[in-house]
Amino acid sequence: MRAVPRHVAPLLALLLTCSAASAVAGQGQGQAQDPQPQAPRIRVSVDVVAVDVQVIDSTGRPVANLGPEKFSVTINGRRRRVVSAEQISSDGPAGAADGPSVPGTRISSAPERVIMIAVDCISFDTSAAHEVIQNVQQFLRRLEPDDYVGLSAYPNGAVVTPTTNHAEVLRALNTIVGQRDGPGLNRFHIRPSEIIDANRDLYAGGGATLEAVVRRECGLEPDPNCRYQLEAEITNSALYYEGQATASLGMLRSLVTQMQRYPGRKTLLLVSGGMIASDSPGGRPDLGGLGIQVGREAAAANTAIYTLYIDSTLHDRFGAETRNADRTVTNQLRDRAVLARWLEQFTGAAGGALFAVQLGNADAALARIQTELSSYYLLGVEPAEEDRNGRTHEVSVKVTQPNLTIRGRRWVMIPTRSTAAAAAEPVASPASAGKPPAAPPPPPRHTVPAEVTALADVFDRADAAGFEKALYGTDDLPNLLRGFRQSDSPWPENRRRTAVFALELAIAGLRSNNRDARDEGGRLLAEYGVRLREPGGADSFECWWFVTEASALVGMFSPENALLFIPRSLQRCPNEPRLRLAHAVVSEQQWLRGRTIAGQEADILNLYEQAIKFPETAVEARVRAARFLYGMGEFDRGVALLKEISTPAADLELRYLANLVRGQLLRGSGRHEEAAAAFRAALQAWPGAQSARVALMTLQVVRGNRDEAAALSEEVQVAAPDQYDPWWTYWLGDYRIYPAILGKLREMGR
Amino acid sequence: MRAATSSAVLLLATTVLMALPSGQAPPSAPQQQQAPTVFRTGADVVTVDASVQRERRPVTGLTAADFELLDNGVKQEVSDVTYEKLPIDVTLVLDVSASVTGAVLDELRRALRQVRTDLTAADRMRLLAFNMRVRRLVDFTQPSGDVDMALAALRPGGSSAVFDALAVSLASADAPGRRRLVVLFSDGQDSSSISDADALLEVARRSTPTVATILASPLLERPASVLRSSASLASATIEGLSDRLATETGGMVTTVKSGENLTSKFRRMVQDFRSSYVLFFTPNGVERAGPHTLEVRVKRPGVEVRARRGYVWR
Repeated sequence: MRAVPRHVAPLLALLLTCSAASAVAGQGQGQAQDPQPQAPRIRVSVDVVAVDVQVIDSTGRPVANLGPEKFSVTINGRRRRVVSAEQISSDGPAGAADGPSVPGTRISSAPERVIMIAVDCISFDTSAAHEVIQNVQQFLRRLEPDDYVGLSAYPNGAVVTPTTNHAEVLRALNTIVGQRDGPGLNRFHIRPSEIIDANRDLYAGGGATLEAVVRRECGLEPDPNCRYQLEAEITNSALYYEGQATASLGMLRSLVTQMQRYPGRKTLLLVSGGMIASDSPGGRPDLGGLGIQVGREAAAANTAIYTLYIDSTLHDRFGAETRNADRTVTNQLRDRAVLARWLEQFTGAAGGALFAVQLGNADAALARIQTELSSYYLLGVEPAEEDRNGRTHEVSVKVTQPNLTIRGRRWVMIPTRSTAAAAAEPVASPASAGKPPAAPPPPPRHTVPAEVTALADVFDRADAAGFEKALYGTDDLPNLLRGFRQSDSPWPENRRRTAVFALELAIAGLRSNNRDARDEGGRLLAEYGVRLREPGGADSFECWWFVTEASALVGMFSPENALLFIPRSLQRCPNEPRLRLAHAVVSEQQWLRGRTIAGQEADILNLYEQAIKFPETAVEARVRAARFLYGMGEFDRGVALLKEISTPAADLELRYLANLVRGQLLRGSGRHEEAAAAFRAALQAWPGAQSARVALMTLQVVRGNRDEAAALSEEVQVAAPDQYDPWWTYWLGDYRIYPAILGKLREMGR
Repeated sequence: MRAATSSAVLLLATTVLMALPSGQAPPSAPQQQQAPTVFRTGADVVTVDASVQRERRPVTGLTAADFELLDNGVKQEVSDVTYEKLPIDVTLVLDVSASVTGAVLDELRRALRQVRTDLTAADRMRLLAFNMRVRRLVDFTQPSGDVDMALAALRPGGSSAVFDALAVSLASADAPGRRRLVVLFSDGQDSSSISDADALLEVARRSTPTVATILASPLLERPASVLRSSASLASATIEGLSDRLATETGGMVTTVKSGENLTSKFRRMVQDFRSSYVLFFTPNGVERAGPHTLEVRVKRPGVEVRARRGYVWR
């Protein structure tokens, strides 16, 4: 049990400036043997910077009694003097490994530990998450009662600010739900490592992995459309995972930023199932330096990082997505490597420790983490004058004793002398304030690029036209989107507003002729598709966000892109009729493009049948299914489908379209008289519509009614210039009502 | 230049009023001035346009005796032949969807002004423009100044209903005693038509105009949507359909790439149509009702004949 008060050590985590002090207190005086626990103190004659490190032996046990001379510290590669080394132990002096005390070494009881547990729910499916949570709960039960423990399950899961009420954290852990995309989203069975290697091959114009995947998925003599779809899925998956990983890292980054609010040394235990990221330079999915950047920020926040990578590749090996994929052990190992890639980057940059364990076997790793957490050294390092510039510097710590492992931050911010003096003012620790760190100082200022802020201001004015003008008039759209993705939200406290803003930016990007803007738009959609996820299931806002996204994607007539997102949205909102219909429409768009493979027509009809089950979309789905059957040459079947529409649609556009399609089907089956009547009914529903006139006109030419055909031709040629025809937007699905859909979302976001 | 597989034929079935310079032999060279015409009427006369070329140059001076014409495989007597005598109605059908860029549009304006200048006083020009909407900019009867104004006002935008635009132009009323040419200019992408390939071909077979197509290469980074409206993707583009239209109507197809002279392409289309023979015959020995196949030959070596492949009796 640790003694109190222990509030000085956190202060040492900041810069120590005690210029009036004369010497390192206690140096060579065997302070570790003081009978009473004392607050750790360092008195120095020079300005020093505090660097905390853990020194452990091969079994993970902390190593005690290392003096400053045992440490070698470099800042930006230049060696600096270690003035002092103080061992801080949660178990008190007896808790550390045995060994004699040495001059310059103090063993102090640690202040209350602040341990934040972060669970990346996107990386686990439901069953995996269950096992992970059980492991974490066991870890929590083994912590000291006065440890402050917090929890952040992202995205949008349980959040508990650091507290000694461990029961609260345990309860919160029980609410965590794995939110990884479920199976059945993709047409092909591509392993994580194959996504990376095949993307590399695509970029290079071909390669062994790509060809192997094509042979496996499409056969030895592949249908060109199968190959086309496969390549699109490979490319789009990379884009999607880039967006998803950005979401994970972004939320982790927010957490790290929040941890800056707590003084002293903190520990972040990140539990993740990994994320697909390329392990080769320039490969995709490419996270750039984001993992490293967040790791650095964690280090700068004086946060020790422990990352528990729960490897579920064995578990996934027989999952629906990969059961038909290549399942050799070699590939499994490679999958594990690419899934852990960004975790390694992040943890390495933070100077932390990564433990990779199999799903269900995390106990030993967590026990070791607990052991390692029991003690650390606080080194007083004297920086050179050139280091005192208020910037972050790379720091490296080594020990002269062999076979020991150092875990420590790789980055340290060294303030200028004037800033350092100010920083030497006492800072309240959780213990010294006498209360838990539930009400910390205000968070650091959010960083939002100027162009994003300017656009956000226009967005706030609720002037839709003005906002669209500003957005689509942006000089550098890719940069705007990138800036938004890589910075904080203009509305950090308003998640919904941020999500609406993000969607509008993403759609602008996807509509752009600029490829970079389109890629950024795709990543942004993927990112916010994840950020929206509520652990308890999608709410009405989330589902409508997806409806808005889907209607915009359908309107772009880029089915391969749309099919990346809409099935995922349906997993979140399976009972959203307009999403069901959108799924069918984009699938038909793929057919219209001539990009479907054998047998896919039945899938499309099945998707329409699912939309027919919902009253809201039943009529439209019937009309569209019937039109699809017309394209397939199945006229009688299409007519029968339309007969089942019992009452005329109240929606005049829909009534018009139903009659138009009926006319086409009847004409196709040779029932010209009835076809003409259907076209006339269409014109009655939507007077002056060009397509109904043309359909009737061509029919009358065939029937020999040249005069009527000529009259209809004349009517078309001289029609009013503002005469609208709903057929013109037929293939764009709900995009015909996109302004209304978007308007509703905007209202929900305000 | 794309393969111009067949025909230039004008078909006027049924009740008939023909503008035929009676008893005149075809001139030996192209003429800019129309000779005085004598109208002869008669029931059951069918007319067929035939373009006859040797090494891509018109062959002139042919008489009825030089032609052999088969209707449903049965040899027919060509009663008369005329050459460059009938006035022409040219309908220009212009794609002004978003995929037609400003530079192409400028070139298009220049080309159309030249075409108008090339027409004789008896000829007429009509201008249709389309994106998803088909609209008439200038009718046959309007003064030529209107063409300039209409061309100046053209602004590209929207999707493309090329099949519908062609169908509308083909279905419009015939003017007696005049030959009809429809010249389509498009980038070949259809995304908004209600008509599919089969419907358009049906209209083409049952109509009199000859269809000539100028296909512009798409210039945008992302070309406009190509949609199929039936199980065959090939029928989704006018590019895929243009050869069949040319075959059915006796027209031709050409492509124009960025930087190529669009004006010369248009002039060639109109000139080629003008320098066609018009053959007159009354079907004998065949059932008149329903569809007929046609085959036109010339009894001279080394010539290429383009003529409509069929007609529908009505």
